[in-house]
Amino acid sequence: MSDGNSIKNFGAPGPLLVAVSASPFSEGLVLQAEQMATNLGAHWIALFVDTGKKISVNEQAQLKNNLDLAVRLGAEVLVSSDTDVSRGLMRIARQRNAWKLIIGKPGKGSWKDFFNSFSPVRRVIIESGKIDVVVLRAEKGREQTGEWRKKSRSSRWKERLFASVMLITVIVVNFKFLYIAGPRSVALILLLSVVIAGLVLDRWSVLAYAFVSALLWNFIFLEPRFTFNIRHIEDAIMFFMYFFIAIVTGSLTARIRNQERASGLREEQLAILYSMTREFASFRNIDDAARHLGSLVGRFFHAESVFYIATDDGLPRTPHPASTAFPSSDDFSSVLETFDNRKPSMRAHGESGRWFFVPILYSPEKTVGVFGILSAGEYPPSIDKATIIEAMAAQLALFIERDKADQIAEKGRLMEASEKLYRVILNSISHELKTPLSAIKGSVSTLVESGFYKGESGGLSLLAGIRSSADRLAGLVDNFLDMSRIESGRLSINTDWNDMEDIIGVVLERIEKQSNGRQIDVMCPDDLPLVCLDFTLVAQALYCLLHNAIVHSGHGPVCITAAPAEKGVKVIVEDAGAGIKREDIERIFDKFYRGISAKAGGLGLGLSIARGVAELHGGGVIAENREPSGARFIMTLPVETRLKSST
Amino acid sequence: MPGETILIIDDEEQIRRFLKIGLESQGYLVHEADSGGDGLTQCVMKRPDAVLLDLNLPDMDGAEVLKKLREWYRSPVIVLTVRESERDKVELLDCGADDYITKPFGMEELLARMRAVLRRARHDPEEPQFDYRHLSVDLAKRTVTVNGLPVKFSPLEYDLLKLFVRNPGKVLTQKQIMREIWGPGMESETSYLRVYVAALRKKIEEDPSRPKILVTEPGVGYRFAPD
Repeated sequence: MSDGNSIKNFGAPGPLLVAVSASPFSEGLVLQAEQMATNLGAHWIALFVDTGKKISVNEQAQLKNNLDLAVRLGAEVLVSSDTDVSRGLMRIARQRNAWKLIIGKPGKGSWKDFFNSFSPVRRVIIESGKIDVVVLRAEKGREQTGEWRKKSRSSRWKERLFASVMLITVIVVNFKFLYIAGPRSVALILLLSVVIAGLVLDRWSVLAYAFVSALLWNFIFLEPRFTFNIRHIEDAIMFFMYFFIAIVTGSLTARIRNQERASGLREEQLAILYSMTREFASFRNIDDAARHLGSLVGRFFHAESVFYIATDDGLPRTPHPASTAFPSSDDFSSVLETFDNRKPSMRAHGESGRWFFVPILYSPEKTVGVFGILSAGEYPPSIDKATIIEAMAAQLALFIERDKADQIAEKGRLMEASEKLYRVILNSISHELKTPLSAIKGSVSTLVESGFYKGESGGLSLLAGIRSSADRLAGLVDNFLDMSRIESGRLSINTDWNDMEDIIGVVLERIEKQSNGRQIDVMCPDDLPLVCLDFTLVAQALYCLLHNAIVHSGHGPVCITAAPAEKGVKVIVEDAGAGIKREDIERIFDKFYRGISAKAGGLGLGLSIARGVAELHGGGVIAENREPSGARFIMTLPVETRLKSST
Repeated sequence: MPGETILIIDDEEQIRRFLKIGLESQGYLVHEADSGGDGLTQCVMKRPDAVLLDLNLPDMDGAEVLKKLREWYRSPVIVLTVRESERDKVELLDCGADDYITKPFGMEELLARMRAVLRRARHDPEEPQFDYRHLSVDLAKRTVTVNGLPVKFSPLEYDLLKLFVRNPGKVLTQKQIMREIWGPGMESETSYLRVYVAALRKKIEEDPSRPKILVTEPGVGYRFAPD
């Protein structure tokens, strides 16, 4: 309860919904909404209602910018299609159980708003019901509609020509049959043509068509003919009825058409997304996935595609082989820019084509590649296309990551297999070396222990010599094998919770059999925690340290101390011998190095084994001299610990 | 007990020879097999009282021989192994080996192991009284004395001690102990086991740093009353 966030969340019964449009003003709206959502600790949704109305290139860019901003600020972004903005807003607001609806209003009222009592803002307020509506004022951005009007005008002259021809034909045909059918039938036939015109024309053209046809009807067919006068009251009513019906029909059909277009677009997008996700599940590798994406891009966007997939060293210059087009080396700078900035970028390519590059993002911070589309079509791509392209990139990102995870797992399997093989080889070498040793030792011990040998005592001491040599050889073989395991790097250490005292006990048991009653003092505090390490390896390391101390320190006592360290534990082995020569103090850990004053025997492997084992556990062994005499070896094992009493 | 039969399965003639001589000197009857297949056949034919099984055999893996053997054969099996293969040792013990001996080994060590497994296999009726060195346990009365002095145990410590007392001389793997005392699903929580073993040693060993009664088999488990 003391947590600020949780209190805030109590105040927010639902998400905030902010209406975003293609206007530059929406940017301010998004910023304010984010502020509000943060203060209230509420989830917020940025909603764009796509009315199916065509918007200009600049507006599209602005819209995308607005929505991107919302995403960056942590909003959930929704795009919903509805021919009516306010209806779309309210529908989503109710669906998502929105708490507050944030909409913008123009800073200066326009004459249109004055007359239009059904402006979206007013309608939203009227229909909002239980939802709070926050209307924020802001200056409207520069109108950017001129461009598309020009474009749409030129693109629609065919339909208008068709409509004009249709109107003239209908008038001419009716003119011929006027006396048979009468002006009212002509009105019905003309209305039918309005409906047909509504199927091909945009809203304003339909209205113009309706207007012109109403006037023509009046002029040509109503008595008195060839004037705009209306003589009879029925005719007047008829004329206004016609006018009204024509306008309503025209606008209705235009609206249906718009909606149809919008849902057609959605359907196409859904088809792409569906095909993408369905197929992706079945692909085995990146090549297939990229190839499939390339074919989708070709099919739906009539465009070429390129894929760059990052390696550990960054982005390679050569695109993935599944690419269908290849950016020039100049274009590559845009690719790199996209990769580094994690933002889409564009670049003109040749006469007509343009590259559109999007980053393949696995997470907001992690780019795993760049996906590029080369097309001659509209630029920048529409919000819908850009969304799909980004969705494709996101799918690819998931796939690349999955592929990477698979590769790591495969590597792990190989490592495991190689470790297994190594272990098999080592075990068989060990077996081969030890079998003859076993035969020697077993035979000798049978001779000695079973009382078979009945010869002279000199013979018995020879037998004892064979036995102790066999033991020594066995020890050397053990050291050799241990060293090669540690050096191989293939050895996975087999850690488990262990008691240091237990390990020391095992080492003492082994060493006291060979040390002829040498005094070995143990100091192991009761509260020493359990340690997570490899029992056998550490026991072997300790054995080596103790063995070294016993062999090189004459007859004095040897002391072994275990103590907690900053992290993990340390084990100290001290003797009262002559100590270590200065120049030897580091070199004694080298493999096969034997101290200058060392006695005969031994290979000089023990200390390197001890150090190797400690290093496998993340620690080390150091040697130093004691005052007044003797050597001290400190083995640190910075491993996990667990208090004995806590279990 | 003299007259008991032992089957040696090992491909090394030198090893078989000294094993045979050593064992026969103690009055055992010895059969030999030089491969896993031969060993399985001989085991069926001769019905030995115990088997000495080498892990490295030319025709099949020693573990495989053990598994096949254990499908019907109940008498003790001692595995001859090398120091490096703790994992194999644990696996073999969990698969039903009674004990193992690490190469190279002396004859006395082997004879001690052999006597121990054969004694256990003879199904001596469980003695409620157990005496070893200075330790004395009466399972019927639930009393434990060390050097003649009564010692108190927590219920869990006593359960652990009882498990060991019932398996003298036998290696118990960590997994076996954990399953027996803490139940299935707890096999990996070995830190509990370490703590209780340390506590037991404090109470029954003269010098817990140099345990003589409850000794550790490195990387494998524990052995109670080793000889």
